[in-house]
Amino acid sequence: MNEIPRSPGKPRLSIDELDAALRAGDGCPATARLAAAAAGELAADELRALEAHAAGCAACAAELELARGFFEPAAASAELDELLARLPARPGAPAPSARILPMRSRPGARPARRVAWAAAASVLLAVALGVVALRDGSAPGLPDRPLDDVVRGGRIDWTTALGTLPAAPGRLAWGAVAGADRYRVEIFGVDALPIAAAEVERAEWTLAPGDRGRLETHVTYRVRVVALDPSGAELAASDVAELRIEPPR
Amino acid sequence: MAIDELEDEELVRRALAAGRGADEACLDQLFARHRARVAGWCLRICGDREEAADLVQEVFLRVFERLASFRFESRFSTWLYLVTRSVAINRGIAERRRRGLSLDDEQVPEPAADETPVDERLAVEQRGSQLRTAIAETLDPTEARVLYLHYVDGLTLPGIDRLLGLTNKSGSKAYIVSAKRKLRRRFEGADR
Ligand SMILES: [Zn+2]
Repeated sequence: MNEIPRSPGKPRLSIDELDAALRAGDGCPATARLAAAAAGELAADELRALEAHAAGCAACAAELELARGFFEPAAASAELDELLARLPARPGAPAPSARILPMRSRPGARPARRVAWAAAASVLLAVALGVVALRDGSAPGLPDRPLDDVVRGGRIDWTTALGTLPAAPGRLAWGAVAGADRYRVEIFGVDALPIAAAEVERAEWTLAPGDRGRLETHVTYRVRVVALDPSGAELAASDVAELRIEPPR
Repeated sequence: MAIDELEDEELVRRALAAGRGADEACLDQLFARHRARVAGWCLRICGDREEAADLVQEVFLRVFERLASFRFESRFSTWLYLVTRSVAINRGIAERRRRGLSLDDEQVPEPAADETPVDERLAVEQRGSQLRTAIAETLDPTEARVLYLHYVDGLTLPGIDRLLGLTNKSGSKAYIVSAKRKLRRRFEGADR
């Protein structure tokens, strides 16, 4: 049979193996609890238990350090002053037209990096709106988008099972879209924050162990895929599907 | 009550109650109060002023877009941290992927999970638990934290130095080198 050729000798340690082994385990508190601990929001007994756990857990200890860096007062520095001086007044203020931002980044005078995050943010906004629609029980989808401008094709259907699964999926697949150059697939966590994303050429995405490791049990994630043409404009999009991992007891 | 005397959560409530025409003054106040904290943290972990400024803007962009998903279950500042962390880490990880960083600075093929035969998958799981044991037993706490922040959270080495206040000669790099040496000696040597 066609065995994958293996290199002789000792298997090398891969970055994904290391990533997976370093990650928080089932007994670890959620990142939000660690943040609450660093913010001084926890009751004394919960804080003690959490600190005792972190003393023997590198993942939680590191996350605590990361969060504490946010809540302790930042040391004043000329560099920070300069940074603050160059910030515009309140970035991200939702302009009245923000709801119908096209998903495609518009050609414009902004530097490339800005355009990239502005485009990402408009995608997120659309997803957030999709989520709201799901919660309201109305038709799921991405409302208020100029369909002729952005989504030129129809809907992408998932071909792998989503919904509640016993374990994190190794692969996500969907119906191929004619004319698609590539697909952007994204997993969003609580509060619609992105957990993992990829651009792939085929109509499937094999999740790296690191991405699978980021999926916690008992948390509802939302998944979406869009087909892109060679210019990066959207051809079609899937509904925002839910994904939840409930291991059998 | 003057707007600058209101608690963060009350500002969020008012901004949300104002709906589409969001209470601009409340959002301005939230931004004014928290921008230095967000900027300080971003600067610490990414080190580059330009990039930090970019991050801060992305963070607040997302915060204001998704204000409605704040559940009032924690303080606003705690939620703000979670958004900030998520934005920064996602960017760090994306950057790491883009550069194709690997453990040996060489590409390691990713196993295709679904096509892996069961016995091979078992072997992979076994390696995983061996590796976890090796991390717990052979690394000192700082080595393990540095590895986590670099390989899981995608922080840069200078960012880790600043976050953990590492003042040894080569900072977090030294911890990564010693940790990898220990793991390789134990793990690669012990397997098979
Ligand atoms: Zn832990």
